[in-house]
Amino acid sequence: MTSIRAFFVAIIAVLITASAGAQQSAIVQLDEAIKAAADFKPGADSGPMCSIENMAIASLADEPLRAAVEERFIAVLKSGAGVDMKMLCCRLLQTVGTDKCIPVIESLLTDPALSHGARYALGPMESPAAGDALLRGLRRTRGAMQAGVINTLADRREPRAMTAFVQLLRSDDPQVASAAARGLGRLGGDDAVEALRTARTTASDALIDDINDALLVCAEKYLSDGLNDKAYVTYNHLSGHRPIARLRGIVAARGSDSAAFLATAIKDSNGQMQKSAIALVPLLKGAAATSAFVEVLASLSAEGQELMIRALGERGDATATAAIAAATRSEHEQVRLAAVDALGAAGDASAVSVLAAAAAKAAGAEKLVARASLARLGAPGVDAALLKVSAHSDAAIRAESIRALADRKAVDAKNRVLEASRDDDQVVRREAIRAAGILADRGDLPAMIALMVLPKEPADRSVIEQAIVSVFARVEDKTVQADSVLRALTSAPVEARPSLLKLLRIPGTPDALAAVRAGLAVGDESIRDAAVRTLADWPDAAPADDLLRIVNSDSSRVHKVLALRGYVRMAGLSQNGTAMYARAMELARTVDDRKLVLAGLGNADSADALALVEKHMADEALKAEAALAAVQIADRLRIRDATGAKAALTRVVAAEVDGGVRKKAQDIINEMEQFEGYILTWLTAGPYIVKGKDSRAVFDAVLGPETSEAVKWQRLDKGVGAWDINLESMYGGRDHVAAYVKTRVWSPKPQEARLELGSDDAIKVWLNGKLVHANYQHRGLQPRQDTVDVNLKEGHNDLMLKVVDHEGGWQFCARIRKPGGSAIADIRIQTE
Amino acid sequence: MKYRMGITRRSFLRTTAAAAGFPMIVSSRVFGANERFTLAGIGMGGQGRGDLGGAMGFSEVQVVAVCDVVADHCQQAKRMVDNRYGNSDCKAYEDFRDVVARDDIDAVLIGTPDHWHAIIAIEAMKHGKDVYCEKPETLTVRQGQEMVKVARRYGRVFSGGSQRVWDDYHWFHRMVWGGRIGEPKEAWVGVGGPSEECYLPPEGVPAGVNWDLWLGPAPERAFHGSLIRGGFRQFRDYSGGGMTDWGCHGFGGALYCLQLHETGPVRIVPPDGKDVQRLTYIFDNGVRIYHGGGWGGILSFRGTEGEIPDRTTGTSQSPPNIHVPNYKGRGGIFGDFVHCVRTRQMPFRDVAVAHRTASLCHLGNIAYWLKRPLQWDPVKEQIIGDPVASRWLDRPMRQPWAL
Repeated sequence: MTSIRAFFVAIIAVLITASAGAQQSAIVQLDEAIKAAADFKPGADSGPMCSIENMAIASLADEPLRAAVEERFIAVLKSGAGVDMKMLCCRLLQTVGTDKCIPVIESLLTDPALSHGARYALGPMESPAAGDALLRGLRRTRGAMQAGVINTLADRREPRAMTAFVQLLRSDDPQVASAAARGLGRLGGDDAVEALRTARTTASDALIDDINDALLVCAEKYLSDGLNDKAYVTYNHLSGHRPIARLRGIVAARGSDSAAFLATAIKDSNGQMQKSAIALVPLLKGAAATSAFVEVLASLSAEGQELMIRALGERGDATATAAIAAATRSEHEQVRLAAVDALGAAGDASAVSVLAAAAAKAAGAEKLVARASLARLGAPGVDAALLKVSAHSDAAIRAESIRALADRKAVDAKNRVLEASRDDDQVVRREAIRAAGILADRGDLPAMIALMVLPKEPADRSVIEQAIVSVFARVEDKTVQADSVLRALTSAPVEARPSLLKLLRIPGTPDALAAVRAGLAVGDESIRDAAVRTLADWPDAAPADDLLRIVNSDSSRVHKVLALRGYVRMAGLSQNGTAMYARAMELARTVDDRKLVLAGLGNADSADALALVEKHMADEALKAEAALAAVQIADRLRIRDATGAKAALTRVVAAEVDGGVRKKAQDIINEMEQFEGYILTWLTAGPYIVKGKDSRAVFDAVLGPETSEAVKWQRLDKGVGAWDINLESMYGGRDHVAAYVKTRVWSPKPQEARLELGSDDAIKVWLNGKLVHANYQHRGLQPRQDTVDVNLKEGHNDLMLKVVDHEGGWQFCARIRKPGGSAIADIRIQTE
Repeated sequence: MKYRMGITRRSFLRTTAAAAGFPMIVSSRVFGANERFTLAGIGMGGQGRGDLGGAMGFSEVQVVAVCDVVADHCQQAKRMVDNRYGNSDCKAYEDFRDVVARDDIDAVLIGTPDHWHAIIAIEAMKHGKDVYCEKPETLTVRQGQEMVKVARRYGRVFSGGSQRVWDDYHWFHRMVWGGRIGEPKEAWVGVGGPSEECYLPPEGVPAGVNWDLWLGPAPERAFHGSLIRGGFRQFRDYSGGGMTDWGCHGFGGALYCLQLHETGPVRIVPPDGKDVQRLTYIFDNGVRIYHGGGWGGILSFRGTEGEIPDRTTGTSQSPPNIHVPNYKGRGGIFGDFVHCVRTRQMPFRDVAVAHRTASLCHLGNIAYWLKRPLQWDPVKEQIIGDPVASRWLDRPMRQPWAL
C-alpha cells in the first residue's frame, strides 16, 4: 500500500471511528432515556420522552443509528414498559419504522390500550407487509378494535381486504358493519358494489345510510375510472337517498345527455333541491342543453330565475342570449340584474341593444353592471353592433354605446366618435369627446384641435381640452403636440385662443413658449389671463424670468400671486434653485406672499431650500409655515443627506411651534433612527437547555446567571450585525435553548429611559438585578417589538438579557432611548 | 362508549321525534330570499360562541341548537341564543351526531378544536347540511382532500373561517393584483411555529366534561384543563400550532395575493441554521414564501418593481381601483356564507381554497418536524420521493372514528 493510500485509509478509518463514536454516544443516550422513561406517566419528567423523540427524528439522517433506534423501540414494545412509553414507541415507529418492527406492532392490534397505537404506526407504512399485518389483525380483533382495523385497511385502499369486508358487512356488531360498508366504498369496484347492494336489502336502518354513502363513493370511483355507464347504474339505484348527491352523480355520468333530466328535476323541485340542481347547469355543455334549461326558466320563481340566469351566463353559450335578454325586462330587480350580468358573459352581438338600453334606463347597480357587461362582451360583431346603436334615436342609448366603445378600446370607432362630438345632445357630446380622448391618436389631433376651435358649444372646450391632453399622453413627440396647436392658433377666433394656449404647457417646446409669451402682449384679457396661467404651469423653468416680470409689473393681484407661485415651483426645477428661492422671498412683499413662498418651498428637497425656510422659523408670523416646510423638505432630503435632515428636524422638535409639526418631525427622526443606536457590545453565557423540556420550560427555568453559580462569560463576537445579534452564529443552530447577554450602561445622572427590544423568540430583561421585562413569544426579529420604561441610576447600570429560542431563528436587538424615543446622547455602553 | 356512528335520520326520527317536542321552527325546506335558514353551533368554546353570536346578527339565520362536550360551554351558548331570541327554544346537545341527524337543521357552524373539524364537517355534509368551519379547517392534508370530495359529492356549501384573508389583507391584494410591485417574487408571513407533543400532567375529569368525546379521533390521554380552554393549539394531536392557527390567515392572505390559492408549492425547505434562515416554500413559477421575517408584521411582499408595505408609510398608499373577487354577500365572511347558502354559489373561502391553505401549513410543519426538505406535487397532492414524510400526510384515528 502506498503511503498516500495508507494516509487516506487512515483518515477514513478515523472518520468512521469518529462517526461510530458519535453514533455510539447517541445510542447510549437513547438507552439511558428509554430506561428513564420506561414507567413514564404524564406529569412526570418528560425530559426522557423528549430526548427519545428528538433522537428518533435525528436518526433519519443516519441509517445505522435509525436501525439501532428501531431495534430499541422493538425491544420496548416486547418488554413490560408502561403504556405511555409503548405508545410513544408506536408513534415514533410511524416515522422510523421498517418491516422489521411490523411483527411486534401487529401483536399490539389486539391490545385495547395499544391497538390504536399499532394502527398509528402500521396505517401509513407503505410496505405491503404492513397491510399483511393489518389483514391478520382483522381476523384476530373484534368490536371497536376490529372497526379500527377495518378503517385503517380502508384508508390504505388495501384490495386484499375485499373478501373480509364483504363478510364483515353482515356483522352483528353495528360499528363493524358500518366500517365494512365504508371500507367497501373506499375499495370500490364491481365486487364492492354488488356486496353493498345485496346487503342493503336486509340491512338495518342504521346501516342502510352507510351502505348508500359507500355506493356513492363507488359510483364516484367508476366516474374517475371512466366507467360512466356503471356509475349511472349505481347512482340510479340510490333512489330516495341523498338526492342532491345522486342528481350530481347522474348528471356527471350522463353528461350532456342528462340535460332534459336535469331540467325536469329543476322544474319539479323547490327550495334547496332546486337550487342545488341549478348549480349543476354549468356542468352541461351544448346548445341542446341550453335549450332545455331555457325552457324551464319561465316556470321558476324570481329567485330561481335569478340563479338559473347566472348559471346560464356561466355556461357562456350564446344560444341563451335571447332568453337572458328577455329577462332584462323582468319586473324583479334581482332577475334583471342577473340577466344584465349574464349577458356580459354569455351574450353575443344581439345583446348589445338590450344592454345599451339597460345601461341607459336603469339606475344604481343595474346601470353599472350593464356597462360592465357591454365592456366585456366577447362575441364577434359586438363593436359593429355598438356602432350601429350609437346612432340610436334615444340620446341616452347613443351615449351609453359610445361609452362602451371607449371602454372596449374600439379604435375603429374613432370617426363615429369624433362625429358624435358634435351631437346635439350634450350628454352624448361629452361622452363622445371623452371617448375620443381614449381612442384617438396623433393622426386625429388636427380634428380634435379643430373641435376645440369650433365646438358645438363653447362650454365643451374644457372637456375637449382634457381629451386632447389624453391624446398628447400617447404622442411622444412634443413637436407634433405643439405644432398641432400652433397651426390652429394663428387663425383661431379669439374665444378659442385661451384654451389653445393652455394646451401648450403640455409639449412645453420653445415654439410653444414663444406663442404663450406672445399671448401676454395681446390686448384681450382672456388671452392674457390664459398666458399667465400657462406660464405659471410650465413644465420647466424656462419662463421663470417672465414670471418675475409679472410679479414686478402692474398686473392684477391674481396674476402676481399666480406668477409668484409658479416661480417658486420653478425654483424646484431649476439648477439655480437657491438663488430663485431667495429671490422669491425678496419679492414676497406681504406676509401672505411669504407664506405662499414657504408653502411652495415645502415641495423642495434641497439643503438650500431647507436653510432658507429655517431662517424664517424665528419670524413669529411665519414660523408655523416655515417649520412645516422644513419638516417636508427634510423628509425628502433624508435619502441624500440624512445628517442634515436630522439636524433640521431636531431643531423643529426643539422649536416653539405647533405640537403636531413637532411630532411629525420626531416621528421622522424615529423612523430614520430605527436601526441606529443598538447595543452591539455584550458578554454572553450559554447555551442553556433544560433536558427534555421545551422553550417554555427553558424560559421559566432559573438558570446559570440567574443563580449564584459561577458562570463563564465570553465576548459576544460572532453574529453581530449592524443592529441585530444572531446568537446562532455564536452557539450554532439550536432549538429550545437560552443564552444570556450582559453589558453595562453608564449614565451621568439618574434619568428615565426606554428600552427598545426585539427578539426571536422569547426574552427576559434584568436591570441592576431586577427583572423589568419578560415576554414569552414565538416570533421573528424586528426592531422595537417591546418597549420597557426604566430608570437609569447615576453611574453604571447592569443590563442583562435572556434570549430563548423556540424553533427557527435565534436573534435579539436592544437599545436605550429617551422616554419619547429619541436618542440619549450622554450614556455609554461598555462591558466589564 | 356506545357506538353510534352512522345514525340515520329515519332511526332518529322514529325513536326521538315523537318525544322531542321541538318548538315551532321555520322550515328550511323552501327558503327564499326573505326567509331564514336554521343553524346549529357545534363547539361552543370562546371562539365558537363568538362566531355564533355574529351569525345571529344575520336576519337570514335562526340558531336552533348548540352542541359541546363541555356542558358549561354548551349552556353558556344556549343562554346567549335564548337571550337573543327572547325564548328558551334553543336545544343543547353533547353529541354532534344528534345535531346532524336533525332534518330541520340546514347548516352548522363548527368551532371545535381542529382535530374534530373534518369528521363533523363530513358528517354534517353527508346529512345535507352546509358548513361554516373555523380555521384551521383540517388537521392533516388527507382530511382536507376528503372534505373537498364530500362537499362536491353532496353539493354542499362549505366556507372556511379565515376572515382576515380579505378583511385584513385586501389592501395587499389590490396592490399586488394591481401591479404596484411589478411581478411578485417573494412574500414573508410572520406567524407562529409548529405544534409539539403533549406531556401535560393528568387531572381529574371534572363533572360536565365528556372527555372521551372531546378526544374523539385523537390518541388516548389523560384530561388536562388547559386543553378545553384553548390550550390545545400547541399540541400536535389536536392542532398544527401557530403555523396553522394564524398561518391560515397569513398564508391564506399571501397565497391569495400571489394568486396561488388554488395550487401549492413544489418544494418546502426548513431552516438549517446556515444557508436557509427561514422555512421557505418554493412555487413552480419561482415565487417564494418565507415563514417569518419581513417588515410588515404578518405580510410583506417584494416584486420586480417594489415592495409593500412601504417601510416608511406602511399601508397608507391608496391601492389601485381594481376589482379583486371576494365575498359575494354582504356582512363579511359569514355574510358570504349566508349568501352562498341561499344561491348555492361557492364562497370566498370555499373548502378547496381553505384546504390548500391549511395543506401549505401542514407541509411546513412536516418539514419542521422531520427537519428536512420536501418535494411536493401540487396537482396530485403527494410528497415526491419520500415515503417516510408521506406517512405524515394523515393519521389513523382512534376507534371508532373515521372520515
